[in-house]
Amino acid sequence: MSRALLAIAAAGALAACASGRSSDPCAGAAGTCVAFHSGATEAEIQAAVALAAPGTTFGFGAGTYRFANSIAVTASGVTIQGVGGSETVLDFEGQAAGGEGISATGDDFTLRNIGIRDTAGDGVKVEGSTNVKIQGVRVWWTAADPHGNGGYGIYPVASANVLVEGSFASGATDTGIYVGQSQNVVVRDNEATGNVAGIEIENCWGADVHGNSVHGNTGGILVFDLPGLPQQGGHAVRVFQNAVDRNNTPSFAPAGNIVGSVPAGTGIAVMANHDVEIRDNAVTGNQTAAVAVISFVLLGRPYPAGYVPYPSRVMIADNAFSGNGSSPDVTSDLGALLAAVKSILGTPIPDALWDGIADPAKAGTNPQQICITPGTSFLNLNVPGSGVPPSTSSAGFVCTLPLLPPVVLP
Amino acid sequence: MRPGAAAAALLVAACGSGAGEGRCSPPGSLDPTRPPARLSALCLVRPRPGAVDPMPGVVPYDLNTPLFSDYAQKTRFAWVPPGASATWDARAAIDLPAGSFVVKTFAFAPDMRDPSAGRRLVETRVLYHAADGWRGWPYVWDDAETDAAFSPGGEVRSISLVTPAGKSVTAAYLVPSMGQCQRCHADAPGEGLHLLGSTARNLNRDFAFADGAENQIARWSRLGLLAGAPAPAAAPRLAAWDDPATGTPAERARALLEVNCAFCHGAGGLARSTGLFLGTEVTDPYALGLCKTPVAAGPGSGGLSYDVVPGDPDRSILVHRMAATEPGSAMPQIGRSLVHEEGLALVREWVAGLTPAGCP
Repeated sequence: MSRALLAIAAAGALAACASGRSSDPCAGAAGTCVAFHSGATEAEIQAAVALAAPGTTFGFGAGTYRFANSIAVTASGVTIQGVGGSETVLDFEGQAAGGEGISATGDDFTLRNIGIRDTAGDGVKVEGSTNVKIQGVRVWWTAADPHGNGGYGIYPVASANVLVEGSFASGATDTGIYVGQSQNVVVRDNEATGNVAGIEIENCWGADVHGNSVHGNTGGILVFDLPGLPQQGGHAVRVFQNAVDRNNTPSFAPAGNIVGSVPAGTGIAVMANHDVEIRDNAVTGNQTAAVAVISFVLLGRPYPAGYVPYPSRVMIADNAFSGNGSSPDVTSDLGALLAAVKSILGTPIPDALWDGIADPAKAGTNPQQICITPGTSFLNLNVPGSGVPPSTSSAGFVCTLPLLPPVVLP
Repeated sequence: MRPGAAAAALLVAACGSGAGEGRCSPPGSLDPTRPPARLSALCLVRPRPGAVDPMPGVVPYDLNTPLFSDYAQKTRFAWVPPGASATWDARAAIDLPAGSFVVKTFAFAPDMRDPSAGRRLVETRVLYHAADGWRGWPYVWDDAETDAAFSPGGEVRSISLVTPAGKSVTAAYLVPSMGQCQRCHADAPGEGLHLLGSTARNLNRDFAFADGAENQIARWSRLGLLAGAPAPAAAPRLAAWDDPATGTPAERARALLEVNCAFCHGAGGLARSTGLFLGTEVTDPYALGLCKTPVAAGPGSGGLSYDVVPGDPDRSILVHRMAATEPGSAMPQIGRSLVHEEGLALVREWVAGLTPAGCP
């Protein structure tokens, strides 16, 4: 079995993770555990969490717990756990206050084996925390029309040593699993489906994204760097052994969001990061493009001085591609461009594309060091308007970059 | 341990002093892990129907531009331990010394055009400066309005009122949980609390004290609560958002944005990850949102492309989010369920008056 196919097998094994859990809400808790059982009121839960001593575990038994206000976790070392992502559900359908279901700002925050449903804004947001674990968490929205859903399902930002694993996110109007402006990140063995973006790594320094099943979103996996933020210069991101399948859902992102620029049918997109590896993934049936490497310049939006809008040193290696690029999404600017290119080429959009926008200070055939392995078809869009037409020649682009080091969590 | 048992244990231990009429004074020191179960134990406020008065030695104060909280009427008191004083700071919030209290009481009348008629006390938020930093404690008033109970979990309360403009509305009013104190008052995520309102520029105004009107900075200096302050005329002064005599529309709008937004959209605030900074000191147009694309606004963008489109409030996300009431879209994220119509109009006026730049 190829390594790319292993990715699919690994993603398929996700469903098995639900078995073997204890029905004890305090199972596995180290230190003080406060247990809640079905019927516990919001008032008692909120009061207990507000008074949490550092290191406290809050264990929720099977059942549905309804909230009108978001849950703010500020103490360090807090764990919130259920007995399963489908068995224990924090229900925010009636939420009247707060921009997210759970907001955590303490260090050493763990959320595991619990479901979060129908939050007014984001599902769980963790900000400024060192050592974050999100494990076996389900975040989803139930509305028939997804346009009113929250922006992010699982949303650690400005944090360090972040692990998101064995979790599920669906319905987010921006991104199911989004890690922003963080350092030392691992996103593995999750499922993201029915979101605008499945998984996004934005402005992160050091991230491993692997073993995930990302399907039925507008875009699968995005590795973006955006300007004007406290942490920019995203780099050292490895995307490997993921199954990225049929991310063709028409975008339901509110206009104005960067993610709204992503054409439906995008498998993996890298924007303005440096040192990125896209390796051993199975990328299948994404109608606009399998892997797109682009500059922020392509979006035609302003950016402040000091921001580097060009991707560089991107290695696209040993992926299994099939059935991609067959029908680019003409409702987006990039998709419309690709549709025009496709009609000129007379073939589907090649496996890996680069927009061709290079740092003006650099020269040469492949100034940004975008590298593919032999057997990967390639498209240089030559977008800058130099009059050079798009080219499918991979000459100068078949190259090898040094392997990036794995992310090691403490 | 049963849920709530820990909270109950705290409450019992904290009781035992202060309730009832008679002489008392605020505790100079207090175990910060054991907030009193009843507000009266702190001896800071004396309730009467619909209002609170300061206990002796407790100083009332007001701000040039306040935070909007669903049209709640607010009464602010500070108490500094005898012999101690705060140190002047021209820029940051003036930090009161250890042992100090700051208390803000929220009240609503059925018709805010006549706010003294039928007014009811809802909650009092207490900030206590313990040896290791500020703590925030929410107290909710009893129905009889004779005392308030420590309420760490907060609550959402439905409150119907007629706004000062005569509009009938119902607020989903949030009494914040203790954790939510930190959303706004935290220096940085996970760290302690700091004061927000007590910047020199926001305090620099007259107050009608029981013994006559006096500038607050002058009074605090005279009483020994504040050391090193210049004369009020030499101190910075923030525009009063609703008083055209105190500043241009732009100055007043920026004052409103500073007080209502910059606690998060500031260098140490929770929303610093957005790169949008709304303090009055900000001069970089991009940081202020002009032609700046949102980062993680999600549905909060309202389908708009830029935080602020100079000259065009209808295309500015900032305006859209001030006009929104759905949690997740509304800004600030907590503490407001109604639209601050008058503040919104002022911010619209500011955006409309910015030189059009033509965001791409």
